[in-house]
Amino acid sequence: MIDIDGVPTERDLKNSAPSEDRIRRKPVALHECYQDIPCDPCVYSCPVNAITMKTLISIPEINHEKCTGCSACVAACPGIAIFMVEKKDEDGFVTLAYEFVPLPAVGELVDGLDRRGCIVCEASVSRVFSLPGIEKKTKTTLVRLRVPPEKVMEVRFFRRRVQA
Amino acid sequence: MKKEWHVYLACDKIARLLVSLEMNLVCFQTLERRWPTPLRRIKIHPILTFPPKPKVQFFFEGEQMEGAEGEPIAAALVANGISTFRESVDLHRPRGFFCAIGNCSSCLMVVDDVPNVRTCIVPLHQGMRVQVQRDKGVLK
Amino acid sequence: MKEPDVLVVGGGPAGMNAALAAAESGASVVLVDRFAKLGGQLVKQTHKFFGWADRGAGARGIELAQKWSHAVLAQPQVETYLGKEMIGAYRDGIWLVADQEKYIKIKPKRTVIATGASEKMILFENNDLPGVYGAGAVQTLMNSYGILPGEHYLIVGSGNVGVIVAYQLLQAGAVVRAVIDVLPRLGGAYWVHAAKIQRAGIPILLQRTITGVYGNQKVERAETVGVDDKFRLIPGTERTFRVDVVCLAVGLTPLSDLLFELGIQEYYIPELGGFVPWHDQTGRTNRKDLFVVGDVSGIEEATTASLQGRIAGLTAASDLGYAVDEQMRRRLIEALAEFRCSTLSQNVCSGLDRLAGKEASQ
Repeated sequence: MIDIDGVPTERDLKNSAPSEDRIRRKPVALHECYQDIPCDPCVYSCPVNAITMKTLISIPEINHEKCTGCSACVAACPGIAIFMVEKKDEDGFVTLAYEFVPLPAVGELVDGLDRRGCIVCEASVSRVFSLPGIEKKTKTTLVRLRVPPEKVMEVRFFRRRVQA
Repeated sequence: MKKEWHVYLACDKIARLLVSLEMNLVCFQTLERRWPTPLRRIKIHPILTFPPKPKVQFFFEGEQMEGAEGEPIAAALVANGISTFRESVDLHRPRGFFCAIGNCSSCLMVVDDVPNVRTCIVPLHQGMRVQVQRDKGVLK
Repeated sequence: MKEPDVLVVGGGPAGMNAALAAAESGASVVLVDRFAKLGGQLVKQTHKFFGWADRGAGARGIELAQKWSHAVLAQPQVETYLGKEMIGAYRDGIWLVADQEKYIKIKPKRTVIATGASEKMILFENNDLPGVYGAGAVQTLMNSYGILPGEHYLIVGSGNVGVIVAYQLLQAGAVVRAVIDVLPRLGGAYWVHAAKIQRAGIPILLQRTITGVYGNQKVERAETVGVDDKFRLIPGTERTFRVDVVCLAVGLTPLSDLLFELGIQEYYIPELGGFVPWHDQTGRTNRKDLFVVGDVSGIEEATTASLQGRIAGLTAASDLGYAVDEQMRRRLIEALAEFRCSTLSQNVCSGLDRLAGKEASQ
């Protein structure tokens, strides 16, 4: 429960999730930020002004139709609460900010973890990148995971496996 | 590989179930060993860099140890695996690092014969003699 | 004897900003800090800060520390005494600063106290055993000196400090067994911070308290037990954690010894961390020439501390007749109020309201 331990439930997620149809079309950002934290960098990071907030302490609103899927907000969010999801054919993709080292290699198989750190699927790293500008300054790396399409709303982190 | 993965997945599920049931975590703990065992000195870090500092030798209770020039004495001791810095005055219970900012007096030691040195904020230099403090300290 | 316009005690976010604001208005400033380096507790904050994008939100604490300390050191109006400690305050307005070798007397026209906070302690068996650390101490060791004091950690307290330390430990490569809290829900941590560690596999165990740590000369295991809604221990729910470090993140209390010595009016406001000096919205206490900013004026966080520092610095300078950008000062006060509008600051606000309702005895 979100107000007990901070982990959002399906009900919370409904409020910020893009439509299934939208996820199928192209990558789209979604936030899991449900508390009125006085914070607004996501609004200014968006090149197409798809994120809006009424005041500093409002909860951000992402216009999923405007969103181009550029990932700038994923890197900008101080709370690491914005993710990029995508479904393409037989694959799902989740892009998340990863503040750990060593970074995984592209193609590496990792454990896909859900919001409580439980393993939900096997994932493979499809891209490890950083955006010029934002990440250079804040040293945030983005990792794009390939996951089964039905898991894109579940996988929110990953764990590297011990190298044999 | 694939089969191992399924076994592992099942193990993890059970472990997580045990966590949610607040039971003792034998299974969970074995899984945790998958994280690399850390060394005392952090080698790689996603955000910070620790540029190498010149090494200095110092003495703890007469034993020679190595630390980095200018880091607090107490930090160098922790890096060498030392946990007891002083003893409580009456009951002689071991005391170690606690606040790291010079507030709490848990790390008072005898440094170069001077007692009551707050080792968590006093920088380390070559050849320092550091001793466990067992009393209130006497100025010589 | 030094006779600056403004004396600032403490070189953290509040103190540095107070010094900068006063100096930029033309006042001469002396800044004293007992550490050899400016930045206070910012120097160990590796997470990105919340706040306004146009006021540096998204920057990490370490970056802010660098930015502000460079500005302070480059400011010719500010004289810094680092590695020197304020050891006394006398009623004739003289402050005594000392290092290992000598004393320096300072007689300022205005003083800004920004001494910050110290960590609280809780009771359990053997809580003095080496291996029981203040969470801030683990942060200092790991983020300032690059040293991990142990391999396996248990964190007591699920406020922002506790969960952030857990995350930073993960980043440094340590194993965090769990974060425990006696409360039935998060003890003040922002949901996003708590979500960050849980998705990485660190459980937050609520309604659980630590009863003791045991080991030969140092912590080898920690014993915990579940509690019910009335905080009574529930037999049969004991659980042992094999850890070598227990981090206490059970709250902070203002470091107001200097103020107590001076006889500044203090009130006990639990929402603000304990005894806090009475002060108005500019930070002025019941002694007209003395301001308090940052955690010493009530436990909050770095963004508000830096704003408070700016406001007090400007106010002190304007007291002394320097031309101060009044509009800017008003904007800062508004920004501070805006930041505190959030329900997350409810506690702080009700504490501040209670404080404001109290008398300022002259």
